[in-house]
Amino acid sequence: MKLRVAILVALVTALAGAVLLLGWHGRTPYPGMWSVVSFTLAAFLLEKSGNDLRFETKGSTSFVVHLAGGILYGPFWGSLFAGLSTVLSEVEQQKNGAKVLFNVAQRVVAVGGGLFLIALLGATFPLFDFHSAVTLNGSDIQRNVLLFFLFAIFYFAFNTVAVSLVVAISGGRRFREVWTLTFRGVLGYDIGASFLALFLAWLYVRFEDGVGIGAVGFAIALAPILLIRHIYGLYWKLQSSGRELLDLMVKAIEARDPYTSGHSVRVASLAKAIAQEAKMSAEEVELVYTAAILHDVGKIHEEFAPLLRKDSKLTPEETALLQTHSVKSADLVGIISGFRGVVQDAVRSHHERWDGGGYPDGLAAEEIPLGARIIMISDTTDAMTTDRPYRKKLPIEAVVSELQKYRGTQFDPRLVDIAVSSMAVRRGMSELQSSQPVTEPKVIEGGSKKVSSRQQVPSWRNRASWPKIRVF
Amino acid sequence: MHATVWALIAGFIARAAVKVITASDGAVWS
Repeated sequence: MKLRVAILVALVTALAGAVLLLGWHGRTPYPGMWSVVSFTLAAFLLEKSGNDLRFETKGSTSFVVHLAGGILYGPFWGSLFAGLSTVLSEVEQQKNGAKVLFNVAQRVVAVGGGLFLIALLGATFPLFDFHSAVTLNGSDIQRNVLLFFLFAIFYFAFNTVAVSLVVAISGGRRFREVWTLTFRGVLGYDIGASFLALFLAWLYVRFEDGVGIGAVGFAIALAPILLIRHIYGLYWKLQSSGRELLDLMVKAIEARDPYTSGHSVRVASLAKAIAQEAKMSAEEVELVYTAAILHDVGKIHEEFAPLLRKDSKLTPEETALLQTHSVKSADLVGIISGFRGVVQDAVRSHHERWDGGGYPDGLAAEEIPLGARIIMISDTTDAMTTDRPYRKKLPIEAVVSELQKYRGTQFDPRLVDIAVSSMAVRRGMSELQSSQPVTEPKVIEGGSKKVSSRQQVPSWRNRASWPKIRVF
Repeated sequence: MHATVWALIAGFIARAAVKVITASDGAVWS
């Protein structure tokens, strides 16, 4: 485990210990075994119906029960219920010690810390008197609703920041990227859904008063939530199958053209780095990444197979045919409705040149979609930074001078400036260099005879203009 | 008429509730 991850886990755990200790001194009376079991089990059940989010995160609606327990029983019992339910679900999933500790602790601090915050502003627990009929004319109600929302905001702020931080550090990603892509878009829904916690707490108390068992109220409220989340889980699985299908497509094309083994993923990583340096938003960076991953899928068409395997110079007709791959790629990408528009356009135009001499449409300068201009640079860079049988990979400085040489003719000059002056992009280029694409002769099926990929030297190896890199 | 309006309002609230329940997440490190 990385030292920085260990420090973060220790820090959050220490905070959780402090919250429980502080809470113990000012705790409300013991709410009874029924409440402990009801709140812990209800949160555990909701946690079980959670879904995988992006990166190494998982989300669930267990927060509804955590918030409800908090406003009814105060910092100590509230954070204890949240902690206990998290222990159950973490142990059930057999996670490693650090993850269990971190998740339990961040939940304790999210609940306990939020409750301490509103206690400082004058909140007492239970926050609402649900035993009597709720009247809406008292100023207390309005103040307490405000305090409740403050508690919910603290809960989500701490929870999402802590989880993003640990995932970013352990996975070597940027905190902002993880937080923005995973949580920013849904924060409004989180706050909206926290209303359910008020409803849940009210139901629990009313059923406790009425039939003696608050858990009946839980069952009434949680059944529809569990059902809706279950259906959503199925939908989510469908979406991830879609993404896995894309992986399959990329792997399939790369199996057909061994030179490009790993090419799409490398181009996509570099394109992402350039897009980030160009200060595109996280959502736009994601679209560029997707387009870069898919930029060559059209090469899977049967008509390209002999051209990709050919070891002699391509005829002008063959070159023209190979150049249709960007349109073919875009057509395939357009099958996925979510990729029509930005992603599809970037794929179609990834061989357009800044001076208008590219294909398929001869677009120039700003007419070329930004994503396509970025892919053009990363695609060419990857071709230069990987070993080919006919030449060794170029050193970074040679790559940079090539990019600068064709700045304003082949490439967007502004993007070249951003790419060559950025440490992050240069680091990305070095990573491309250290990655090993096709180095061992790989035997592939080539019609009736077996051919080694080393024999398949592309036609442009002897071009006079080398090392200007031709990428098809 | 009243019934239609109430049905529309109920439908709208149900839709919003479903959206909120499906989109909201408390997170853990998985």
